[in-house]
Amino acid sequence: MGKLRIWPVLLAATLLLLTGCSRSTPPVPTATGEAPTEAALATATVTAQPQVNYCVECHTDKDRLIQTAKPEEEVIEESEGAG
Amino acid sequence: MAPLEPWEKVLVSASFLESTHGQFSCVQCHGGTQSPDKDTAHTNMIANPTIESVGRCDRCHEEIMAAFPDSLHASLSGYAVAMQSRSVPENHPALQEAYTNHCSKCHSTCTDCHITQPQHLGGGFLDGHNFVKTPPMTRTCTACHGTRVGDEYLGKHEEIPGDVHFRVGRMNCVSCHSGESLHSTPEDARGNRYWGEQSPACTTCHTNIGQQGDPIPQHTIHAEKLSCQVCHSVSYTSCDGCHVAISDKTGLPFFRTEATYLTFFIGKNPLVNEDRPYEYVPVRHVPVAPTSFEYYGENLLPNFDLRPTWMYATPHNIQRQTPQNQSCNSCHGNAELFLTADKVKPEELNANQRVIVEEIPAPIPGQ
Repeated sequence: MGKLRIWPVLLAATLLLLTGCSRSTPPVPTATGEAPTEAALATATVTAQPQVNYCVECHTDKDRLIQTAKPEEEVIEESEGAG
Repeated sequence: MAPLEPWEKVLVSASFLESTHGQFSCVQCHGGTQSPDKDTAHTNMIANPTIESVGRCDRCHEEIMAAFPDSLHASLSGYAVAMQSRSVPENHPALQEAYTNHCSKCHSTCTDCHITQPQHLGGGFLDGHNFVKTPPMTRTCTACHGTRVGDEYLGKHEEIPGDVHFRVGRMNCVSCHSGESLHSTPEDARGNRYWGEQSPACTTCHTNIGQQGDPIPQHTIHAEKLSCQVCHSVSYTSCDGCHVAISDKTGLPFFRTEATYLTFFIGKNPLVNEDRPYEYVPVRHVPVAPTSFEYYGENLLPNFDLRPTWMYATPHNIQRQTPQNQSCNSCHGNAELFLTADKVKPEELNANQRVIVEEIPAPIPGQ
């Protein structure tokens, strides 16, 4: 009976140790392009893209954009000659 | 500039999301709301955030954004000077209205060069919303500067070759026009791009011109008498009689230009200054007429004659060899090349007194 009681304690201790190895914050996306200067970064505040980014979902989906993009009104061009 | 389909104009590339600018959230720059419903998402959305650039581009590009509002690209201040200097203060409100309706759309923002094709020409992403550091020449620069600079530089006029810097050098606009000069305009040049320091100047690259060891004596002989383009440019575009109005049918602004034609005329330099001491320069007819803005009121340009209609020009079709630099007397004594009074419309003679050449340089004997 005494041996059986020690197992939950060992399991809890193992979990506690594993938690200590994990990241405390979610990973931050890394820019691959030209990085802003340190001074610039000090003033710029990047707000991470939301988990479900509806803007990106739609604007990266060619077929959806073809379906939903508003057709452009044809403007009768009355200008004549070189501008 | 190739027209884009409506969907194509707003298709964001996956690579944008990995880029530096893609680290900002969409609503941070564009406003609007995160929503699966298009109308909700687009409510209060700012399609072109750089129109209200404060708090956006200047977050990182502070130095550029501090100078940009005073640049000619952003302010178009040369238009106001050109219009007002032919007018009187009481006409300025009417001219301002005309300017707002017809000219101000040429104002450019960060977006117009670095993210999309110019908005007033239809817009659309250059590269899936990626920010393009060097604007592509034909989709941005010559999309606006097309009729004169673009067509000359790219050689679009029949039998007139493109600029040697393009044909042979494969140079694009920013090879000469630095980012700094496109993003800012020195104070003394804000009323006219030819008032300030010559930037770019031919001699920035061609450093030996007129200097010791220059094998071409004409460069020294003509040094400050002729601008480089007098000998090295060929026929370029002039325009006449642009008139603007608002359409009765559509309510939209439109313009009509009476004529566009190719000329090469050497005139007296109307803008002699420390940086442009030349006696002679090529001159181009600009499309203004006394009645250009008559839709907005009668006689809005009562001081029309205070500015020439044949203006200082720097044609962008430079050639090493031109008809006028074949020999001394290709130019000397050749009245055809010079803007003489007979080539100016009678009603514009007064305006052009400063540029009309009265005495053609005499032929050089024995040449």
